[in-house]
Amino acid sequence: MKEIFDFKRFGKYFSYDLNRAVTRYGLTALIIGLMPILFLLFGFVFSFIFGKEFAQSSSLYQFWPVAAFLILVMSFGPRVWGGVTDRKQGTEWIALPASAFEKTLSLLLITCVVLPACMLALLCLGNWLVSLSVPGIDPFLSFDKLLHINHLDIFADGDGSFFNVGLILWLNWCENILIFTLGAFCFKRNKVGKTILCLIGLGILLSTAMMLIFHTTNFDNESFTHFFGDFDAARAQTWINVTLNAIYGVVFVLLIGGIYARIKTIKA
Amino acid sequence: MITIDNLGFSYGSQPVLDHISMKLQAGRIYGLLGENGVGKTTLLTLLAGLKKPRTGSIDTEGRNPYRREPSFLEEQYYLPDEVAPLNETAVRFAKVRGAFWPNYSQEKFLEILKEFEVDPAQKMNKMSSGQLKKTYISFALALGVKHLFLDEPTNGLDIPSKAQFRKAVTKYTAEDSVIVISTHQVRDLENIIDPIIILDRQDVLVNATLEEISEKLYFDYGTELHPDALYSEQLPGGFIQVLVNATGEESKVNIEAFFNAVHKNKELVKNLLKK
Repeated sequence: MKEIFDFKRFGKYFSYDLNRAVTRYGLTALIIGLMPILFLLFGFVFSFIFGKEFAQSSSLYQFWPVAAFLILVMSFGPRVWGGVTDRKQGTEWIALPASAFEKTLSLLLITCVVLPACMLALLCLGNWLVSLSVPGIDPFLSFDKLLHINHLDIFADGDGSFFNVGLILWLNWCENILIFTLGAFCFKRNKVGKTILCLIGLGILLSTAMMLIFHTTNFDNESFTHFFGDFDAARAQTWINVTLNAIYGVVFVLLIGGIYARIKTIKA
Repeated sequence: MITIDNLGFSYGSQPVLDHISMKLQAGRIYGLLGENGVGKTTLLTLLAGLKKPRTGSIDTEGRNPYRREPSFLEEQYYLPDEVAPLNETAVRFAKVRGAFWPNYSQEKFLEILKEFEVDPAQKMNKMSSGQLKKTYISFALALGVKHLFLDEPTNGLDIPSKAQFRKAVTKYTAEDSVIVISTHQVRDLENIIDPIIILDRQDVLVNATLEEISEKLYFDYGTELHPDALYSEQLPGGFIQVLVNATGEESKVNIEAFFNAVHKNKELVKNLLKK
C-alpha cells in the first residue's frame, strides 16, 4: 500500500507539483485573471485620448471569462506537464520517487480544484475592483447571468427549480482541462493542435455512430417528441441531470484512467 | 546486485540490445564503453526503469525497475547526458528535489558544489553547460543512493573539473553502491572505473575487472614493436601495445588501448575474458 500512497510523500510531491505549476504558469494565470481590469484601463485611456464617453458595457471585458476559460483549459496542462515527453525534463520527473497514483492525484487536485478556485478568486477580485472603480458598470462576472444562460430551463415548470449550472460548468472545466492535459502526456510536439484534431476526429466518429444508430432504429423527430412527451417537467429535468452526470462521470473516469496509465507507462 | 538476463530492446523495428546478460556487483564503479549507437544510454535507462525491456529481465535486488515503485526510486538516480537548464537556483533545485531521497544531504551538495566552484545561488538557466552539468553531478552524488547511473558525466567539463569529478565520485559514494558510468572519455575516468563493460551491437564483449584484464592481456609501453600485438599505437617516445599475456606478467591497463584492442579482435578478446 505504501508503494501506492503515502501521506508524507504525497504532501512533498503535491508541494513540488504546485510549486512547478506556479513557476510555469503563475504569471500567465495572474495576467488572465486580471485582464478585465487591464481592458477597463485601456477603455479609460482611449476614452480620455479620443474624448469619447466611456463605454459602460465593453464586450471585451464582458466576455473575458469565456476567453479565459478557453485559454486556461487548453494551455495549462501542456505548459505545466508537457515537459514530461521531453528527454531532458521528462527523465527527472519520471524518476522522482512518487507513485503514479500520487502523481495523478496531485495533477487532479491542481487542475480541477486549485486552479479553478484561484481563477475564480482572481476574476471575482477583478470584478469587485471594476465595480468599485466604476459605479453602475455592468460587471463582467455575473453569477445571476450565469444562471440565466441555462437554456434547458424550458423543461422547468416555473416553480423555481433550475439546473445546477455552476456544477455543470465545473465538470465541463474538469473534462476539458483533463483532455488537453492527457494530450500533453501523449504528444511530443504540437500538443494542443493534435489534441484538437483528435477531438474533431472523435466528434466525427461519434456523430457518425449516432447517425447510424438513429438510422437503423428509425428514431426520428416524432419518436424523439414521443420519448420526451411522456415526461413532465420535473421528470425531464431529472432525466437530463442524471444523463449529463453519467456522461460526465464516464468521461471523467476515462480521462483520469488515461492520464494514470500514461504516467505509469511513460518512457524517457 | 543487479542481474541482467537475456535483455532485449528495440526502437520500433530497429533492435538495439539483444541477448544481453551480465551481473553488476555492489561496491564497484563500472565503466560502460562502446561505440556510438551500441545502446549504452538505452541500457542505462533500462536499468533506471525509464524504459521497458522488449525481452528478458532486469533484477535489481529482487525488484523490476520498470515498476518504478517509490521505495525503489529512492535508492537510485539516473543522470542523463543532457540536463535541463531550469529557471531556479541550484540550491533551491537540490533542496526541493532532494527531499524525495531519504539519504540526501544538502550540506554534502553544497560541499561538492563548492569543490566544483559553482555558485549555489546562481540560476540554472544562466549557467554554462559545464556549470549546469556540475550542479547535476553534485546533486546525484549528494543523494546517497545505492544505484547511480551516470551517462557521459564528464562531457562539457573543463580539465580541472574532470579531476574534481574523479575525486568526488570516490569520496562521496557509499562503498556498497553500484555505480555505472557510460563514457567515451575513458582517459577522464581511467583511475576510477573498474570493472569495464564494453558493449557491441547487440552483444556484451567484455565485463571484466582491471585485474582480470591484466591477467589475460599484457600492456607494453616499450619502444620495440611486436608484430603479434593485438593493438599497437605510436606514442611520443615509444608505443602502447596490447598483447596476449602469455607469461602472466602484470602490467598497467590502458583502457583506451584495451578498448581499441577489443574492437580489432572482438571474438578473441571476448573468449579470453569469458568467465
